[in-house]
Amino acid sequence: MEQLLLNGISMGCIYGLVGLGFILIHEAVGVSNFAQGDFVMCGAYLGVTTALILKLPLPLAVLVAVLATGIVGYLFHLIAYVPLRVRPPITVLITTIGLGIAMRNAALVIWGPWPRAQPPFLGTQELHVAGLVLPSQSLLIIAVTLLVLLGQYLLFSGTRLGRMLRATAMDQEVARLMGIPVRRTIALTFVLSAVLAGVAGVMLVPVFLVSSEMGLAIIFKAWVGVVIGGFGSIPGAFLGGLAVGVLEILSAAYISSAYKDAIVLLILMLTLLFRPQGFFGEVVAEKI
Amino acid sequence: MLRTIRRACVTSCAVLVVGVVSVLPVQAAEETIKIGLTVSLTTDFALAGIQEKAGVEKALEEINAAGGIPGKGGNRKIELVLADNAASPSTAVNAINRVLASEPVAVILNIRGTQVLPQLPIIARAGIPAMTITGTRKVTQQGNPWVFRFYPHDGYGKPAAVKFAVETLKKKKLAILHGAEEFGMSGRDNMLRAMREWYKMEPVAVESLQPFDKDFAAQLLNIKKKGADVILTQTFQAPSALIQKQARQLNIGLPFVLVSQAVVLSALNLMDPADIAGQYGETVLLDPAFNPDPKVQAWVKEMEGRFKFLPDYQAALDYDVMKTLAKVIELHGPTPQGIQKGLREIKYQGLFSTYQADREQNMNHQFVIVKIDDKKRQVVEVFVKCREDAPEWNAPDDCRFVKP
Repeated sequence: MEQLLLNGISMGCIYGLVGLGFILIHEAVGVSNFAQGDFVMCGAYLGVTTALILKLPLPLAVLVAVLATGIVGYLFHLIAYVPLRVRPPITVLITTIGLGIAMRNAALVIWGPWPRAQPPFLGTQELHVAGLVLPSQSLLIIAVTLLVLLGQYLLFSGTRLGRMLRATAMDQEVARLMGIPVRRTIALTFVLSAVLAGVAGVMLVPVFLVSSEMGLAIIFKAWVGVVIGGFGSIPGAFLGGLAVGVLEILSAAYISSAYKDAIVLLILMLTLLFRPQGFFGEVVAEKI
Repeated sequence: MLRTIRRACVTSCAVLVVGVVSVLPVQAAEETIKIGLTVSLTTDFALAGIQEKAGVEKALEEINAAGGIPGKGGNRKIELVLADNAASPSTAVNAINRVLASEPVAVILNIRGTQVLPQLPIIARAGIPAMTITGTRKVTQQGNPWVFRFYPHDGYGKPAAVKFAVETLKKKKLAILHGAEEFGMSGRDNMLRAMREWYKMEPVAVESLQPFDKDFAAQLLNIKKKGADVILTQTFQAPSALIQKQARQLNIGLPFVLVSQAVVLSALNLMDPADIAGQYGETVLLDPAFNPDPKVQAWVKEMEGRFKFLPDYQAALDYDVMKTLAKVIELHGPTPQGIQKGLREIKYQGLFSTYQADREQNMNHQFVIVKIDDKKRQVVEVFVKCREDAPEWNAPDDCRFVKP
């Protein structure tokens, strides 16, 4: 049970990070970015490129990969959002799906079809505590996620930039009247969202194998986490992702590995039926 | 700026359209014989598709370089018409329709039964011979007279894996870990058949996984908890590699008899030697890179020079498929009926195996069980040879283990 919980929390952290990026964009521009999982893939491939192909020292490789994913996020915003911002949100949403497919195909062209593997950042040795096996990468994922959450909390609550981001998310018109450069702030939101996905991608490389389709496995679960946690709630998005990671592994262990995804879907449906605003958020129906 | 963005959008859309549905005449010439090929060249399953395409292309290039296929009106070269399955059953249906629109005399289908099965009714309606290296048992159980299989399917391989686990490894508590799609379930069902009919036993655990799953801790820990003493698997390369990694991390400590996709070279490249050393795999042939035969080694070198990657058994088998097809066309003419008749009658010695149709039109009746050594090389444990008229391993003497 404890072993399963640890694995579930580790996966849940990844879903949570992706969910956070998802909700940031949703709050800023009212659109769900369904290419968020492909940013995880992008970050993972860039991590492999900087660490294994360019052979940069690991900390530098991670930093460069995450920042490069942020740049991809900026370019994505130029293509998917800027030309379409006056169109209905569904137009932008469909564009994000299309660009996600384009990103996967581009990855296939650039990096080829062979999945890439990378050893765990802290070595292949596992810690053994009270009969539990603690893989170093899983512990690192949990630690980095906590750091990212702390960083995000400090950014949003303690800095002018964070207040600008929050003001833009609340009401773009009012933010503009208050002198906030809304377009630049939205661009920054896309970058920040991509950076979060980039962190998830880089951390996942030693756990998952990197392939062009890896984002698909994550975005669905992250999205379910966001719905369960509640659209509009940043803590909800993360906790929802965490809950999905744990529920998924416990379902596979104690109910059926064949139906674990169906069980997650069932929980999604029950949430939509009985608590459509999620456990921490506002009603989602108006947004999509 | 906006113009640049619009241009970028148009370019992205063009790339997308080309990527999603592509039907590419790889080589065109007058009076050519058209052969169709549908494999997955995008998605994670491009891993197999690119190998398959390379094997077909290598054979085709050799045939064309030698002047083409001899026939009544002189030699005719082969033209390949290619379409991408994108690892999707519905896209595979579109792909086969597009290939058939160019009127090929025969088609080569991919290794994934999940995509081959929905293509079969279209093949039957068109009346075009189709060759595949899928192991999914159902493919040649549909009564489709146009389908020929060049892989020893799950009806041979899975009973062999069970027999190996029970009789050679002396294991009594077998567990199955399989993919929850056609390929995985075909393997599971044939393992269960052998356990129940031959050994009157039930597996202690049957666990499944989705093709895109990444965490297998729940399945592995369940299997261990239920007291299994060996795990038999049936899933694709990437999940196989992750299963081996996680089994070692979690100290599962059980021997595996793995599916061919787990011991193929491209899967081995994804693992540390410690992840898989000492495990067994049931596969159609030693991957060419591990085969000491000088002819095979020369072929590997040529393939690597031409395609810049080492070929695996998928490239090897599709190379033999194309060569067999060329021989049949030479003997019986480039018509669908002639090719169908020829494939039913021929006994062809390819570079990697011998091919002869049984009554279900399974052409390949031999395979190997290998052990992976500490340098991630395949070493033959036993050769398995089945009777060429046996469409699956039912009676004990349908197949036999032969020590190397």
